[in-house]
Amino acid sequence: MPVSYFPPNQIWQLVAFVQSLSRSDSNSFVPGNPAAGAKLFRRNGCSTCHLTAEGGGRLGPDLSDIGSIRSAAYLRAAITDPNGNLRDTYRAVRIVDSTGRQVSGVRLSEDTYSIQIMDYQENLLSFWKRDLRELEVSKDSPMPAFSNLPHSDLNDLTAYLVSLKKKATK
Amino acid sequence: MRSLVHNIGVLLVCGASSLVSLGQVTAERLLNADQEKGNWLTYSGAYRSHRFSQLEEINRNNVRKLKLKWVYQMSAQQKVEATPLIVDGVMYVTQPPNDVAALDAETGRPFWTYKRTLPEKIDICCGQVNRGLAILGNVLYMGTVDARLVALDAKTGTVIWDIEVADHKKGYSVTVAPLALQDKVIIGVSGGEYGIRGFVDAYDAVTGKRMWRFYTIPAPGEPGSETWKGDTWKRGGGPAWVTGSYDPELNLLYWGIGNPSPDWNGDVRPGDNLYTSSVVALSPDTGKLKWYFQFTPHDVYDWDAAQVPVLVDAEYQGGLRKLMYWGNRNAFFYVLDRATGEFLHATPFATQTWAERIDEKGRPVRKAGSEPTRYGTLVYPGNQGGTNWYSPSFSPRTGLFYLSAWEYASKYYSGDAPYVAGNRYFGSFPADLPGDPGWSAVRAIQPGTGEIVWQYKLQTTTQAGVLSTAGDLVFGGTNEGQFFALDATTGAELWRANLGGLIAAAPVSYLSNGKQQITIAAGSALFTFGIDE
Repeated sequence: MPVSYFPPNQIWQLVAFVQSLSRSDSNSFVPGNPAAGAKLFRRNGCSTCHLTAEGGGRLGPDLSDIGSIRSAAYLRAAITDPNGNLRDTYRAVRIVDSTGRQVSGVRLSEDTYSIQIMDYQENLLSFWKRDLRELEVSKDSPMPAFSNLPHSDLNDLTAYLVSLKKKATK
Repeated sequence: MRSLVHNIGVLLVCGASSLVSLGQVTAERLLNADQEKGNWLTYSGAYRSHRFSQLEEINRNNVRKLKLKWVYQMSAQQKVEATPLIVDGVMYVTQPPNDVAALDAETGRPFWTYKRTLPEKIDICCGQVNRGLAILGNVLYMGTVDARLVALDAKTGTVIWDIEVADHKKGYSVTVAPLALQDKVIIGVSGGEYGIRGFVDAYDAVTGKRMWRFYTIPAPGEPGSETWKGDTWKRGGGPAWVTGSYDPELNLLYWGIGNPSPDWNGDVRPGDNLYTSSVVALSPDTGKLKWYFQFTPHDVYDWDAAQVPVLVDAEYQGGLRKLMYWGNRNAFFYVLDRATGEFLHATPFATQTWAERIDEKGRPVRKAGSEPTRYGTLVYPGNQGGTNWYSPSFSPRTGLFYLSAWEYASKYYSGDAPYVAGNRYFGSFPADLPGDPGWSAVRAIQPGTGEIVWQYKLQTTTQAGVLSTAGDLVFGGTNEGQFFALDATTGAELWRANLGGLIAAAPVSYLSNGKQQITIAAGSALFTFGIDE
């Protein structure tokens, strides 16, 4: 990519445009009923791992402002195929330490010598790899794929996620 | 067997698999933070602000074996002034301006990072810096350079609430590390170079709702307003940009208040200009003023009382007193009675040429001709003072007060001071002496007498704070990145390491896997040292 010398106002215009590419278009029509989607969200246990304004867990991505960040198409795909755009920080991890104790959770960071995880009880834990008997880092998310959801449910759930936007605070 | 090497892991090994190592930072734990020698729970370590570690594993006999354990590189473009917190194996640190990282205290590897988007234009004096966090329960608190207070989930960095403290377009910002106590979070504002009207605020730790505000510049009719003329109080300054201290027995909060505005032209604001360049004692419940002590009445040098109040119970002239030790920017070391604010004594700890003496009430008797003029007046100490915001330390083992002291002068000018909201409001600017940049030293002061017991001289004027430990060591640093350990009794250098970047923060100490660690920020990185078996 060649170096570009834009004046500051044009740089910010460019930044705003690039940011807009990943965001939902608030004017676009999203089929589905957000209220029904909210019920599905609760019924399927999504809040066990995901945070919204109504509370929730910490193991998965924070969804409390997801409607401002991601498009409906992205969110719909994430429901049916959570491994499609999986970030490194949400991979499932299983560890057996030198005493034989097993710990499972999601990976937060890792290098050659150590690994940091959040276990399923939401504890932050860190291990030297030299002290581990087993270490498995899955390529997959702990989140199940909801690929068999009825079409209408998928629409409702997507509509609910698109509706999740933080109010501006002063 | 070292199956799990971290404190947080050890908790699980002990069979407490449901025990959440975070979320336990109760108000009670904060009250007793000085008994948690493995953690560092507040900006200065505990409410009394001794910046003293009770850990003694690293001591005068073995400090030469101190080795680098890990480095955490920040993506910071600004000076790192932050003190990290260490809570049960997790280190929390701010990265300037307002990012946060949660690190494994054993390896330095991140659990999470929080990156904050700031407004495009923030005009802030002296760098977009941040001095750290507070923690209460499961929540971290950070002030921002665009004058907001943010609450983050300590396990994930998720924003819980984010509220406006003041309008940054009018010169307000928040660089101070908040102080969490009881059910609230205390902060003060920066902006003394912008003609703000300063304040100290308390916010509900759960909701972010403001519980009280103490304006550091009284409005007409309020006590102290007689020290301002006309409407100068509206832009009188009085920021509160360094973390205060708390005495739970007296239930008093102590906070240092900064310079009046404009800094160097006092003619436009005749009077003592309360409560600038003072310490105020406030009720943490209501924010009401219990007492104040003004170190530099009608300050015309920018000598903020932006220092950490150090609270010590000690014998004083035959009786046990609740004392406050204060190495002030005006180059005097003060001892006050912190129950009443009574002045007890003051002695210079650095060269000063502005005061004949401090009188029996604690008021300086000024030398004639020491005021800034249009043509410049040479005065010791210089603009940055005999010390500044650099954290001091008190060791209950040696009974000595340690601080970074500067030896330098400035030529102070007084000029026009037109006020435009949001613009700098200085009234000229002091100049350093060409070819004489000054020097500094870590000095040990005997608080009872003010005697300087020893000093460790440095080539340049250090911005580093100091830490003392039960291993009878004092840690400090230099502008050039030298991090050193001194004998707390004699000041003899026992160890040093070149970290290659400006040290403008203060060290902390904690336990990881049962071993004492020392951490300091230098350049744009965080360095942790320990001793191998």
